[in-house]
Amino acid sequence: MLVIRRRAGESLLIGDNIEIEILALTQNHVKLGIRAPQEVTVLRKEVRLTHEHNREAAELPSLERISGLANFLRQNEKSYSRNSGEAR
Amino acid sequence: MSQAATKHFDNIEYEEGAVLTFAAGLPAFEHLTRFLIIEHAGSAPLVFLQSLDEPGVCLPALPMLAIDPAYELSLTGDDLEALGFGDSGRVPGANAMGCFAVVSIPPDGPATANLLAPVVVNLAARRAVQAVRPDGRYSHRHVLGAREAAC
Repeated sequence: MLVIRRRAGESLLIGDNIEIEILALTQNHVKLGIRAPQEVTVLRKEVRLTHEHNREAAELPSLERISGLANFLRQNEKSYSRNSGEAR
Repeated sequence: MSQAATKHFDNIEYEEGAVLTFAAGLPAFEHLTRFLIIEHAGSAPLVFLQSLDEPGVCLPALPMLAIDPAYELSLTGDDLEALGFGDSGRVPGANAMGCFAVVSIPPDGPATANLLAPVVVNLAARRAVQAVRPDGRYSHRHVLGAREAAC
């Protein structure tokens, strides 16, 4: 992985038309400004991971496969009996 | 009562009051805002998040506390806003919310639950959001039923 040190107010360039500017820094956060062409998707990584997982989840297997998993969960999870569904 | 086409359960009847509104959709399904939670005896404890906008989109899910009884929810200001809790300025009581993890059941591997991005429901207002956590505390592929998958 390429590592570059930058201060607030400084920028770096990726390719010909993507610019990332360090706007502000605190102890725990860095605020970035990103200039990129419209067709370049910019996503927080955790959103991309969730996007992929949701897509996979929507590729539902057969109801048999689902029932198999449901049976397994019923047999193996003690915590199902109460409070399922609602957060405490 | 209204009728909806579903992916697995043919046509079902539902009450408008049961509809969950995801104002921003879900990642990968940003254009779908209206969902029902379908419970099906043979599939319990799994439930199904069935899109009312697109019958072919149906996501299995599990109550979060059934996966991890110690799960600690963390919501951003934007999440609270989307749920309709933004105005009060108070953290809503846990009884006011439902919390589910989306489950992927691939044909060739173990089922996984996304603990990184819980689906959170404001039970009274029927507003919902998939709250993607910015921290790395929980996995987006928490393995379920590893033994079942190995059979």
